[in-house]
Amino acid sequence: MKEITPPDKSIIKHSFASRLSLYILGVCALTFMVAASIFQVTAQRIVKQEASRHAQSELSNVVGIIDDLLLQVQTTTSNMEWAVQKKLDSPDELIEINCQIIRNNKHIIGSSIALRPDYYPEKGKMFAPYAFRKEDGSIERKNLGTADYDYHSQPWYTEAEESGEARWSDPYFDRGGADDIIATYSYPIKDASGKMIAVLTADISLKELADKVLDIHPYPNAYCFMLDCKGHYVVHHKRARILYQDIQTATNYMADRNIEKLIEGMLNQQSGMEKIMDGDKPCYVFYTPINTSGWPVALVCPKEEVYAVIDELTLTIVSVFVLGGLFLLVMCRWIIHRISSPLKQFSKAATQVAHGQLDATLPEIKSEDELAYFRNTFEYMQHSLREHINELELTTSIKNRMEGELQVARRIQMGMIPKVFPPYPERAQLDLYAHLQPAREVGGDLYDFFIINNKLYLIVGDVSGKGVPASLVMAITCRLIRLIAAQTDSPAQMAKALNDSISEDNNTNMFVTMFIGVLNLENGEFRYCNAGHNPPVLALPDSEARFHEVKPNIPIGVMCGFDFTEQSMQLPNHGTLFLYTDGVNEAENKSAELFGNKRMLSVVRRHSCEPVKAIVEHMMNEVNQFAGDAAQSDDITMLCLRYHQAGNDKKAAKPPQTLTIYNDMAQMVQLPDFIEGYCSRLPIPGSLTLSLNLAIEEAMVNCVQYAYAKDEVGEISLSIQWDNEGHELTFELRDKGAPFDPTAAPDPDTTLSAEERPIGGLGILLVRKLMDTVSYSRQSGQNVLTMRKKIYAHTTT
Amino acid sequence: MQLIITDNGDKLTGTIIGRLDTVNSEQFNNDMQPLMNAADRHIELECSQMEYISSSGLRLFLTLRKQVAAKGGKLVIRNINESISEVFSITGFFNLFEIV
Repeated sequence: MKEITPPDKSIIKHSFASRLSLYILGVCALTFMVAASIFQVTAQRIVKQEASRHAQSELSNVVGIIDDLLLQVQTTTSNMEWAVQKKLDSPDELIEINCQIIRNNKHIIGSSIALRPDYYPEKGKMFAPYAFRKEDGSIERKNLGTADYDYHSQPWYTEAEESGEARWSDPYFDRGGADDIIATYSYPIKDASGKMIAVLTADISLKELADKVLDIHPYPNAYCFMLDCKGHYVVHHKRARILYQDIQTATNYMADRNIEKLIEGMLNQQSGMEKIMDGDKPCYVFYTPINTSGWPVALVCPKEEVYAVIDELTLTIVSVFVLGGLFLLVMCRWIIHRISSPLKQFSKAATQVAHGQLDATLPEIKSEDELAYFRNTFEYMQHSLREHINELELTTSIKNRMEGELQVARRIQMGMIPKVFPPYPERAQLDLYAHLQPAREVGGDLYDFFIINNKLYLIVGDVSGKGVPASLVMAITCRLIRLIAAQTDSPAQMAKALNDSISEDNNTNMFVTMFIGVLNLENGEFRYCNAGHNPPVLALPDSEARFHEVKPNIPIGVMCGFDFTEQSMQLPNHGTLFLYTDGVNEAENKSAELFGNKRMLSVVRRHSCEPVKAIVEHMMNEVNQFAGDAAQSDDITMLCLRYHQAGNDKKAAKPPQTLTIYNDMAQMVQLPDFIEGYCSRLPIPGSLTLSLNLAIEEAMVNCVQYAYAKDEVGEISLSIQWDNEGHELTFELRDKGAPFDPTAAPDPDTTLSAEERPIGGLGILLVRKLMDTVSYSRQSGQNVLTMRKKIYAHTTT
Repeated sequence: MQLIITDNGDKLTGTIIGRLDTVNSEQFNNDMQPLMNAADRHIELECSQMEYISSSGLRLFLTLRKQVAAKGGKLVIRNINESISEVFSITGFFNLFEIV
């Protein structure tokens, strides 16, 4: 049996807890990554929208403020038109209007009324009274038109004159008045005919606007700038650019198509947003124009700052997840370990149970879950195992007791059949052997034989079924037979009496097939009755074995009152009668093939010259060999009888015969006939006769050649004697020659090669080998060579 | 006892019929002389009809065997029956002859 060892704990390479934790973490990580991706995309979209909205609102806010401021300036200026018209006739008072304007609007730093050339002839070609606010807040007056400042060529004047409409100039550095970057609102004053007579102006300092614009900081590095209508920077945190550089030049180095779109949009006074690359930094640029003056304002926001909030958020979420994951891992392991720790205890308990400790302690399970269910099942298993083992122990003890009883029953049963062989050693004419081999401890086969009044009773029977029930019927039958046999020597009468007795109250419907024979030992008459049994086998020495035809009748116990037919025959001298049960010819091998009648007859025939014990033993061996590993399915019984008509048969009481020849080789021709003639009446197979002949011939030729001298004539006699009781042939070879012991010569070496072998010396070897015993003696002047051969014990050497 | 010798060119076949005992071994000795003379050839002894052999017969077989060995021929014994086979086995002749 293969040895089973407890499972090795070292096979656990990845514990349940760590595996489950990893699975849970894996699923969580996957879920998180999907959620994070969705979040990232959505957040980017929302942040971008929000940033855009925020930037635009900041932008429009400042633009609104500027617009407001500019509008106030416009209103303040235009409101003074009537005053100018009214004061046109008194040129020196015009300056007061300018002062009034400055006073009216704190954003206005300077104001002038620039009259067209030579409007007042007395004032010269250029007359432009100009008031401006000084740093201390006082208002100073002066005339703009001087020799080095021809205001008529200044854009604020020319543009108003050309268009005939009020308008804002682009910011410029004013050298004539404020000495600062200013923008001028020019309002044309026209006479009744619509001809422009003067330009009323209001200057504002760009510084104020710049402060508002530069103040916009929605992101740390975001900045705002403003252009004039031609694209020059007017507000920029890099002051050097102001008025000296235009946006086209400043952005020349950027190879970005969006820049062109941006510039085009800004210069066309549109609103919008462009994404540009400022060097390697992506930026969003929002732009919108100031309505009143048309100056485009732009807000530049670095993308990374816009999205900084997302990165921050992402970092937070990832940190939370990583920490959460670690926490989850630790918790999972702890919880699973806590849940699965009873499993280890169960495993320990199972090992203990395996070692026979059925009451191994189980872990306490307080929860009402699968583990609790498992614990109950385990407990149930322990309980059931205990019960089964108890039951098994009980069953085993019962079985042992029954087996013991069966063994006793077997001994009793075997005691009921005669088992001493040879049973009648004093009766030379009988050779009898029987064998019974039950398929189980006890069986339903039976045989019996006994002699009453010089008659041999033979019984072989087979009770239907096997085992204990059959054995009980067998026992009854055995006892009844003996009782009945004491009253009758007729097999049919015996069968009838037995049948009637057994049929009566045969509740179990068991029956017995039986062959009953009675042999008259005085004359060899054999009377028999076959009660449904297999026909016996009859064999003569060295001849075919065959079934002896019998009338079947019916088995014993089937029908009360049945009259059995009796038959009789003369048992042939030296003939073999083989009785058996169907356990022999119906023995099965593993392929469910039957041993069969043919094999059975063949075994009887092949061994018909051997003692009956040998026939039975050979039969048993052949049956066992044939059945192989197949379990014996039926009881096997054999009874074999050979009858020699000793004393009654004249042929059998063979007197010794003697052949006498002279020492002439030609006389040897008589030998074969002499030997065959004697042996033909004995139970000797032909092949044995031939080998006996050979041995005698060799011994006799030896005498013919060497017993006497060549010219001498002497007698050589051979006598044969058959010993019927000993089944032995004795040959005696006598001559009156010089003493010579042929048995003294050593055997030739039969292993030599052809070249080494001497030609002679084979004769005596053959004699020795073919006979059982060879002995030499010298009796009353004669050489006597005695050779003996047992006929049944050894047919071959 | 009869020994019939046939020659089919390839080999000589001696068919033995009946008993080869001591009495007729002399005759067999004479009959087999053609075989002795042809001992340099392939000789077969056909024994299916040989009923019996005594030691004298065996001696003649051995004589022929020696002759054949000396002259470089070949001797084959065919179809010996069961009892002769027993005699061959007792005397160790199975070792000496090619028996088929």
